[in-house]
Amino acid sequence: MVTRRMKTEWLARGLLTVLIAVAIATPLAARWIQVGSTNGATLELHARMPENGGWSLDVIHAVVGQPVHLRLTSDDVIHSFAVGQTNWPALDVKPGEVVETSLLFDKPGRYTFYCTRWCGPNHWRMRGIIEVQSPSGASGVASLPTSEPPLYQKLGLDIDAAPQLSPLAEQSLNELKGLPSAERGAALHVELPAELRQHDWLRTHTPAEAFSFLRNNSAYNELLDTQLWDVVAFAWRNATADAAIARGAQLYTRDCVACHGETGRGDGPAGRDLPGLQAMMPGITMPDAKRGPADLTDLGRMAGLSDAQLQGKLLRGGMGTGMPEFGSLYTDDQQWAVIAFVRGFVMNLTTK
Amino acid sequence: MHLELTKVPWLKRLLVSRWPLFLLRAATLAGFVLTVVAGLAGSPVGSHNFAIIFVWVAWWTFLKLIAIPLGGRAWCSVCPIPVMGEWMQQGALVEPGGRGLGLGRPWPKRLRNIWLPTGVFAVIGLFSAVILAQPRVTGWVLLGLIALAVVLGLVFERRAFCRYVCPIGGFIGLYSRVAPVEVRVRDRAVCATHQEKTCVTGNAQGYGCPWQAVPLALTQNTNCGLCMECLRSCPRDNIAVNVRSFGADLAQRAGRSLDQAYFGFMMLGSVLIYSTVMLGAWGNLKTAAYNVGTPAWFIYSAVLLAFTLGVLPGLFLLAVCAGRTLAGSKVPLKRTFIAQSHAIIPLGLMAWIAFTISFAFAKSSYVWPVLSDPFGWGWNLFGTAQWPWTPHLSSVTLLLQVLALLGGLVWTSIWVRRIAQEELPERSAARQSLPIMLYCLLFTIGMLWLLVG
Amino acid sequence: MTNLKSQISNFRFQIVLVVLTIAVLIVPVPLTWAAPQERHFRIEASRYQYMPSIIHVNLGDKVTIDLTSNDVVHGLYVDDYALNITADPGQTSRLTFVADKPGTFALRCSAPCGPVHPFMVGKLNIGPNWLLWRAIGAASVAAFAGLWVFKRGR
Repeated sequence: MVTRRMKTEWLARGLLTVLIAVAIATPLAARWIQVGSTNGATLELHARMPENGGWSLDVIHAVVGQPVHLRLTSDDVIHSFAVGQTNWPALDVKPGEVVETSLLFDKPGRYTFYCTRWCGPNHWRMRGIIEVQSPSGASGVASLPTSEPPLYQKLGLDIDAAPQLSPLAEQSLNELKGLPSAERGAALHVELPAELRQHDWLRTHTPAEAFSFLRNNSAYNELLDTQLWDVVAFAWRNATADAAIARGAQLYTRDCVACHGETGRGDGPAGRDLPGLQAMMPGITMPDAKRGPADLTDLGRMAGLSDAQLQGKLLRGGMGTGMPEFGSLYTDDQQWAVIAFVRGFVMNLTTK
Repeated sequence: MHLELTKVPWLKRLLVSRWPLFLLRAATLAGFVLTVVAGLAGSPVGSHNFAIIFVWVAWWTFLKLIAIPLGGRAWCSVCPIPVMGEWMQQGALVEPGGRGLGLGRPWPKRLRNIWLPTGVFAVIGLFSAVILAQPRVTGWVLLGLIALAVVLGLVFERRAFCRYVCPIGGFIGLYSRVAPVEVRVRDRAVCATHQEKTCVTGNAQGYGCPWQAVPLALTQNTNCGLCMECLRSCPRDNIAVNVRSFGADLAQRAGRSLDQAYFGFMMLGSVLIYSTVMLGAWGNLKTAAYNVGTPAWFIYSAVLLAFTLGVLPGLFLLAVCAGRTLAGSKVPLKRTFIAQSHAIIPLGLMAWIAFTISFAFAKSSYVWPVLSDPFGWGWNLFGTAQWPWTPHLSSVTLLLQVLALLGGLVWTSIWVRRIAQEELPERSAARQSLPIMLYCLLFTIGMLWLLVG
Repeated sequence: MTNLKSQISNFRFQIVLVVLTIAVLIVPVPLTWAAPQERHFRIEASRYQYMPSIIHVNLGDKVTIDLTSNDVVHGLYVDDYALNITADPGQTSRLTFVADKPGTFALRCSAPCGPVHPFMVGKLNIGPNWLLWRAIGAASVAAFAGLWVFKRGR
């Protein structure tokens, strides 16, 4: 015989079971629906500081023409998601929040995805690979989608060589007061020689070589050394579009400022404690060490390096300084934009 | 002030009926399960995880600002941690009559005090920074507590976990002495004529007191869990639920003991240390408290334990000694120390209220997004997932904290004097109270400086 | 009659003490404020504190805060003024405002910067911290006033 008490009891037990089951099953079911409904076409990617594991996926596979859906969230601090060798804007990935995006590739190759909000001393290691195959199944070029070797490789330049300055150039630099100014150079209303109007020439010669070239040209004999440096600055400015410098400024702020500093002196907070660097030089602490983020405001040094050499350093990194490689991240345009901006630390490139 | 709630018929029916309490307990248990799932499976970011926000912001604020000051051990009556153990012991969810499981062993005599809860509270305090910051850790701690409660429920009798192990119960019990709600016998004479004392032994209508209190002789709230079993089992309808003035139990001399006093100092010391570490501007203290296992953490732990268990009680002992000397008291030192330690219960309660106010309103705005997205998986159940974090009412909270601390100080001064006058004439009592009030003043100034300075 | 008189005088004593405590809390103190000036602070944020963590200004000052970070993205939110900026490592974000509300305000980190982020806090003192001094004054009176005011026989 079922008593009233037993009926109450079973009702209570049923209610309790339902409540507990709902508490457990709802999140799990919702998760299963969320992850399963897109038939695995949506990838969940967790951003974490490299100390906590970095990106949760090391490799993403994609096919040209087929969108890759990503659900991104961060497990610790603010990160962002950007794909190298493209001009796609970076997407902020915030802790505890989920953001979705789709990637569509039109060229096969191996792309690098990386973080662009500085997230700790190992931020520059926070990278992954996207292997994009063509629809036929061929994986295309195994390295960068850009198949051209960079300028410094074509020219066989040694990017680790010490800056080259002729004694004349060096002495004239020592006598300079302030930075060479493109505006003053423009005001001189001098005709630039053909070489100094060519991208190729400017990119493959150092500013010191440009100065020497001008000095040895009798057409500029009346000009003082300081004025010739202004002309050099003007030549560099002349060869660069405004938009490129602006783009370079954005990229520098986003990717370089943490180590090289807002002033370019190499005194950024992240540069004080570069992992790997310390291991290479035990017993020496930054900033006493002579290695570390380069001082981009050192005119004597920068004048002796060509843009192609700077590009090489940017692309390859290393040099025993902890500099990451940007070869897999920046398109050609982005590389030259950053270099153009960086030139602005040693030459005043603003013009009205 | 004395107002009997059980005189109101529908209130009485509500309190005696078993369904309201069962429904509340089922709800809190389901909430607890959800919390553990969120903690273990949800986003590791604390501010976007239901477990962290609902345990350490929502529930904690509710407990400290409403449940304890107004209801004493009211939370204990709906707490999900012991319920599974109790249901298994009783063999029934609602009405008595089932066959229970469990060994029902008596709790060891040596541990029939709150020294163990004091220790558990201290240990949890050592890991508090990690527990508050990491959802996984909160999840495991809650799971551990409920597992422990179930095991103890199956081995020992009744609510041994709640009374002799639970650290939260330790301070809820301590502070319930000042709460305005109580369960008391109406007329002692009626109990004298009742042979069976079913409030203790139980009958078909109600279990014997699960808290192992003796309802017919109950004079303090400390161990009464407001479960209403005695109301159900009393055949003479002689037990009432009353609303009374705040602080009434502090006048009860029985039930004052050294372990209770020490828990009081643990609470006073903890609120000072948490205010320093969590609310202060010194980041190295926070990292020391968070990085468990590092030398800095060991130093933090040593300081916390020494301060709460050594320095604070030691200074109070000095104050009591000085007071006794000033008053020329012949009352034994230990008795005065224990009695006066209970006088500072209001000080501790108001200090914790002030501390809770200082972070509750700053963090309360996390509640809305977490309701819509409890796991940090990108859901938006109620449309509030993107509500930004903004501190609420910041201009008012500082004043509220000051008022709470000052209120606690005045309240304690009343009781320091009153309790002193239990054994001493008026003048001597006043003199004894001077150094003790100096101690309380220094504590209050410390809290003021940390919270408002 | 004497009973009543002594009752009233007791009562008066209690009233005086209570009024004194409240007065310490509320009565405005006449003071000449320092002339408002411009102030500039550079605050470095790291996990989990600001350097400097406490800044003092006078009422009416024009305050500029340059926030930069040393490790991850941090933020700065000024309680009550409801101002909010974030800074990435190496980059400087600037906040300018007039300190027209007196008191002590928390500076809270508004960009999740790690597990201990909710506790990352600094302080902005505008003018002397009157609330603190008044509260300490009131507490000093209250601690001992309580003993006297509420004495009761058994």
